[in-house]
Amino acid sequence: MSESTRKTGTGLLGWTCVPHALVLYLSILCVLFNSCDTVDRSKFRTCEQSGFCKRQRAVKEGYSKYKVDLSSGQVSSSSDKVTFSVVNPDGGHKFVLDVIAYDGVFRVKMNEESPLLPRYEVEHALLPDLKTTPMQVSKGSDSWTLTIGKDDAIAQVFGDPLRIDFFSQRKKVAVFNGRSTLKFEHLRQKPDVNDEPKEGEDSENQVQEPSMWEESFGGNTDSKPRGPESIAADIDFPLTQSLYGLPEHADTLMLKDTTNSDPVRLYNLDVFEYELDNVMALYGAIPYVIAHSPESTVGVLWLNAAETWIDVGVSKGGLVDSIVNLVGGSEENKEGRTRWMSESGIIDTFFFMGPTPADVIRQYGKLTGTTPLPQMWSIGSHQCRWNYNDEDDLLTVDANFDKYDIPYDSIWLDIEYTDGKKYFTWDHHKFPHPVEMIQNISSKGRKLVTILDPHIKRESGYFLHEDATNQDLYVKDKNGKIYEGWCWPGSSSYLDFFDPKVRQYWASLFALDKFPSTLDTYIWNDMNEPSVFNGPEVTMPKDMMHYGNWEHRDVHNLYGLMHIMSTYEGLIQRSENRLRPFILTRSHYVGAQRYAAVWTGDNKADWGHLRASIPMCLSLSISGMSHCGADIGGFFHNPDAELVLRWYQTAAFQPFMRNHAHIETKRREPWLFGDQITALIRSAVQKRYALLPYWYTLFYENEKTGMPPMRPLWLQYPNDINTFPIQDQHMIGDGLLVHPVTDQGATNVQVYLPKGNWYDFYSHKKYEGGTHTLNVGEDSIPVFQRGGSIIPTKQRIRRSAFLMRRDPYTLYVALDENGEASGSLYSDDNESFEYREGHYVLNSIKFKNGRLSSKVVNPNSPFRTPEWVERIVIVGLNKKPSSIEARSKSVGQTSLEFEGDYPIVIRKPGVLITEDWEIEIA
Amino acid sequence: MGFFRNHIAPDVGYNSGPGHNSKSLSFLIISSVLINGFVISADNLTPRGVPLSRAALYDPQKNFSCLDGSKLIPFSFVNDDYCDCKDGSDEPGTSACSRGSFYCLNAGHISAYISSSRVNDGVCDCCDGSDEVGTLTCSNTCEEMGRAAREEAERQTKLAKEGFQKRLEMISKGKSFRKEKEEERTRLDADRQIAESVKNEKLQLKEQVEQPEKEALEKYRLIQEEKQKQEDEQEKAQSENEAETLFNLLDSNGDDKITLDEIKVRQTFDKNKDGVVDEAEAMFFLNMNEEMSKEEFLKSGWLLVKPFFMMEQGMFKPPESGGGQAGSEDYEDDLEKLDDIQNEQQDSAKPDVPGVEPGELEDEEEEEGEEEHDADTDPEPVVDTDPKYDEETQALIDQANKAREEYNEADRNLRESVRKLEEVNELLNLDFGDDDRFAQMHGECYDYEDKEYIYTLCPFKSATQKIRSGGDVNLGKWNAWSGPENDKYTSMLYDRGQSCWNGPQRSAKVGLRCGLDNRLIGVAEPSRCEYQFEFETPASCQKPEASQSHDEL
Repeated sequence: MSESTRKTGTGLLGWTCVPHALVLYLSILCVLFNSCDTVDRSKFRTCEQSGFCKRQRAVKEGYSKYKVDLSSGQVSSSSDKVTFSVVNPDGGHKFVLDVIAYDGVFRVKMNEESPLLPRYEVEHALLPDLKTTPMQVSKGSDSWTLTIGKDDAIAQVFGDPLRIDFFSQRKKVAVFNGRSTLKFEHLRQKPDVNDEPKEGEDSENQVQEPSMWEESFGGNTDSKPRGPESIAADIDFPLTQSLYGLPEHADTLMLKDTTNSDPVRLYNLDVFEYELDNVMALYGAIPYVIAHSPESTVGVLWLNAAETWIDVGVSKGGLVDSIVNLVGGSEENKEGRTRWMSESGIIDTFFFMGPTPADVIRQYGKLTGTTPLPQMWSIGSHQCRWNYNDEDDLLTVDANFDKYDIPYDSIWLDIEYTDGKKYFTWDHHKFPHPVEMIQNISSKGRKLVTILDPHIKRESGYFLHEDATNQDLYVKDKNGKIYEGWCWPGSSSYLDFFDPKVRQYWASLFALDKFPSTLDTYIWNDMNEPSVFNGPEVTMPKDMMHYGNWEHRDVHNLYGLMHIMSTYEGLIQRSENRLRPFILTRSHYVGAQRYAAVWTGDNKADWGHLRASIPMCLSLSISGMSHCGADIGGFFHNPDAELVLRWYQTAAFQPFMRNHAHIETKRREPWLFGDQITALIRSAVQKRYALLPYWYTLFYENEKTGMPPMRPLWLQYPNDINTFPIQDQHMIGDGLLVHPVTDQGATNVQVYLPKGNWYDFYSHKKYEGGTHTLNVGEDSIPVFQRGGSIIPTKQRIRRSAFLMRRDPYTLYVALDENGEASGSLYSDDNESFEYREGHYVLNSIKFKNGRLSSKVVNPNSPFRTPEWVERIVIVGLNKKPSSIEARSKSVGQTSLEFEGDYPIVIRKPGVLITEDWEIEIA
Repeated sequence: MGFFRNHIAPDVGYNSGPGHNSKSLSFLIISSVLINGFVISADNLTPRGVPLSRAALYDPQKNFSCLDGSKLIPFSFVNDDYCDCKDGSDEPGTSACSRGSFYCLNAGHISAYISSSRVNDGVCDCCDGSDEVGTLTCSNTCEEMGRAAREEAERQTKLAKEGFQKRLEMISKGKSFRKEKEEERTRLDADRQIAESVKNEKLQLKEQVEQPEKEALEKYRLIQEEKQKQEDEQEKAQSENEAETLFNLLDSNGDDKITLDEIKVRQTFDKNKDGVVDEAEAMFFLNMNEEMSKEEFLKSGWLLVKPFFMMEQGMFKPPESGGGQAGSEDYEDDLEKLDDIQNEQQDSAKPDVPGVEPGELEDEEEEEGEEEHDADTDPEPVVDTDPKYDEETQALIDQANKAREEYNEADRNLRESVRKLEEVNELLNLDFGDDDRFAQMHGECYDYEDKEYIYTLCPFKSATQKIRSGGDVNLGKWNAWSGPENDKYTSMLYDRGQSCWNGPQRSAKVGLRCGLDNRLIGVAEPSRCEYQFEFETPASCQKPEASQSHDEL
């Protein structure tokens, strides 16, 4: 939900200070210009309106003269870190530069040598106890060369001026401060107005802009007691202009040139009815870019949690030109440029040296963590609405899913279930028996998800508010007074999750005797940017204070991460470390993938937003947040039947699948659009459920390797430049390619298939690589299986994913040009952490030389399951088999029936997934 | 509310596995035990999930033909946990076929088919637990459920019987209601005819006496006009004189212009009473100019100045509020203007104003409009403002006034009678259901209270919501029966209610079901501003089934 929906919520009551006339006036404007459907841009800053961004953007190439004193270079005892002294000749201010090495990763850190006050270094985003790696250090006269491994990754540090070139397999892939635009505003005393510039003082200090010590926007004033302290640096990519990342934005997957627009903004905000195709800030911030070229791929993480703007330079013509240039190989336009500007903190950058995109993703995952394997139910279909009104309503919706035979795994309760927006309470009139209600739905393997936001109603007698007041758990202003903002409950205060004591307190609230619920209740953390209706840009003022004496300015983008960390801890404690938590978050930052799934926030019921769900989730996926989805149907407004259907068909092939709607919209449960649409939605959802074993296996691999289940094509086909700009289709794992129908009234789609053989996953029709125009009907979801892959499915679709856990598998084998294929199958108890103790089974399945064989990768696993293989479907065989024989411990040696010329369907092999087996096709 | 409708069976381990030994199908008979998907009965082997009545279709001695005729398979493929037939008929007892169904015998309760997808999924769906093979942990709840179902059926039968009796009463009341109203219509129609003739008679009389009155008044009219003209001229001259005097007073240097300085020296013009006549204050009196010619002053300017001179002389009192309030009055004027615009835009932009219903406002406006219109058609009675008529004329006037009054009364009577007739006609045109079984509910209202609101349904009229702390919200006016085509009297629609902020006009659907009294039993708001009422009435009770009534006999 978004703040501006307050119009119907607490708004009119809470905003009595707004002149009545203004409200009327706005509503008239809406009618006259139909302009209330889009974001109110005036509420949000442009770079020009942000003091530090304006100052930093004015910096010209060659501005900075920072000098590394190479002779000061010190190599740590284990050679994993080199430290230099850096000086700015303009004024002589001193800095410290560290270069640290991890496996395949360089970290470049720069801070003032002795700042007036400590400068914030991001906590909690990276994994704890990172393992560094030694470097070979070669000291030259004008530069030092630092090498990881043999010569896989090299960082060459130049002294005058400061510059670092990065080489991956001897190709220069990234340059730090190559354009000399690094500008590090050191902390300083507030000058007296009458002060004369002092002798020898840097020129930076002599410039006084009014925005440096106080800044106002939209009626809010930021007191800025620490003065100017921003940082900025350029990082360029000599090999490519194909840059990706920097979520979250409702924009293209490939980053666009920002020369003639605002820079890309990263500042977690609750944006009402966000616009598509622009770089305005949204709910999440991941300051991470992947620069990809067929030659090499490199990733850059700018670890800073303050407001950050990034300028992107990819030849002026933007996307099309850059592709043309790639094809043409024009040297001069090949370089992609970025320049990163943050309001406070230090420069702390990571260079993930690749060389392949999969390497970069693995390296990023090793530092920031990967998405832990979710519970099986959470990759099923979810049903949400603001709001299901009461127990009866919720149970009726639940029963209707069974009546209409549409599987689903969880039903959600938005804010109205609480007693007056007091979290961890129930409205006892509408929900008098929460535990029985939950048990009723969980008896069919389903879960309940309830919302818990970080703002706390300031109501005396509300236990949480009382505790927070008495135990000092709230965020305070710079004078030590508890901060009060306005959110759903009205006057609210905000828990300071940066304080370990607060996290522990919050975690303790999930105990089943404190919050009446069951272990089948999971959590939705919304509004955690944090959203503050009456705050500057709908969030918390930057001069509020957090634990550790840090300003909100320093930590803003981390707030949501700290919120979900605390919830995660609560869910862990609640089940005594047994069950994997499930949390859905709106706000996110680097590392949030370790705790929560994410959705793209308050989207809209239109076709553009449906299309945008693909690049938005791809961008999040490659940046770690792999359990991603968008509200089916669009949160605001009413979708028509066609849009709902196409959205279901699209979302059925995205990692997180949830129907959700605004309180003012019409009901949109799948059976409300007529029998035909109901049947088509049922079919789309059933397709999702059939593929759950594949998704589950991919999520297991995701935890292990960082590779997201939903992938842009270029991640799988890094050398195929045609794939670089594609954002209307995507891969699921390396085996399926999906091109959902996302245009109104579409009768055909253009699908690009990379080189190789492809098979329509449902009709089995064969396609060669290339562009194909396919006719589509209302039931069409173009999905292609890559020749060479094996996809595990379950074809017995039950009411919920959990109820399918013991059912047998159908394997889809599609052979490549060489008559080979391979795939994996992962299974465990679907819900607990026991898989971390080896209680799982992983099959490696291969087809080669006419023989399909499966090996249990972990044969000593104590995990037991009755799951077996009931059917194998093979496409791509060059001749019809004459006989088929299975061999395994449980079936012995037995000949199998099969039918069909194409595809070949092998009847009931009966082999178990807990054993090795072979099927010989002769 | 039925909690625990299902329960998950404990994990079954390996028992529901692939059935590896299905190839060596064993016919070992153990009484009342399930073996490889077959139920053993005394003399017959019925495949699991098949009712006895269809057992003949599954003959173990023959190959099995899929029931849709699509395929012939060895009998060993029946219930072997692999789907061979497109119609799912080879797997009646397993979950292998997506389109199959499973038969639960449910001895003690009602037999039922469930979808194959619910077989062996760990949830006990059949009350006899037969859908979960190998678990044996589903308890057999058929006796219990059967008893409850029978009790419920009895209750329903009783309800139907009593309810239907009451329905018959409602029908008979409905019919007499209609009869009454039809008689009333006849009566009112006769009244109307009489009233119409009376009115025509009075009209003639009126016209007869108005002509001489008009002629007599004509000469008085001319005299009056002449007098008025003289008065106007006199007044004008006086004004000009006054303006001239004022001008001379203000134009202190006698240059036939009034300048700012000439205004500033006069404390009279200190509008905001701050002791100084500043530039702005002064300019106000010069029509926002720096000076004003004599010509302009005489034409219009002096009107600005005049009130301040009058005030000075104590002839005129300003409104209570001080000068500083002028701005806020303008502001309120603006608000009113905005409100006007708002009203024009009301469909999409009107905010909720509890207690004020847009529809009602419109109606009132319309009614007012009609009244004004009516007044125009009536000749204005001559009012005695100037009782200087001669006796003869006065007599004519009195006579005409009397005739007019009589006519007006006759006209009012006719209108009233037409209105009553229309009312009855409207009522008779309402659809009270077959046999007028819902007619009795007309004119009644029924309440339902929840935590926050009191809902009121006045059938065939309106649905409203009363906020406990305040006013009524109109949820809709009667529109039509809205049940499915073949059963339209099961649901009512009330719509065109108060508009929601940024949303549609409110509406309410009323679902009707059999009950012993007319009673509103629940209200929900499934989507914003779309309400769902549940109403019980004997009028919705169906005739008890023949067999049951036969039992009663």
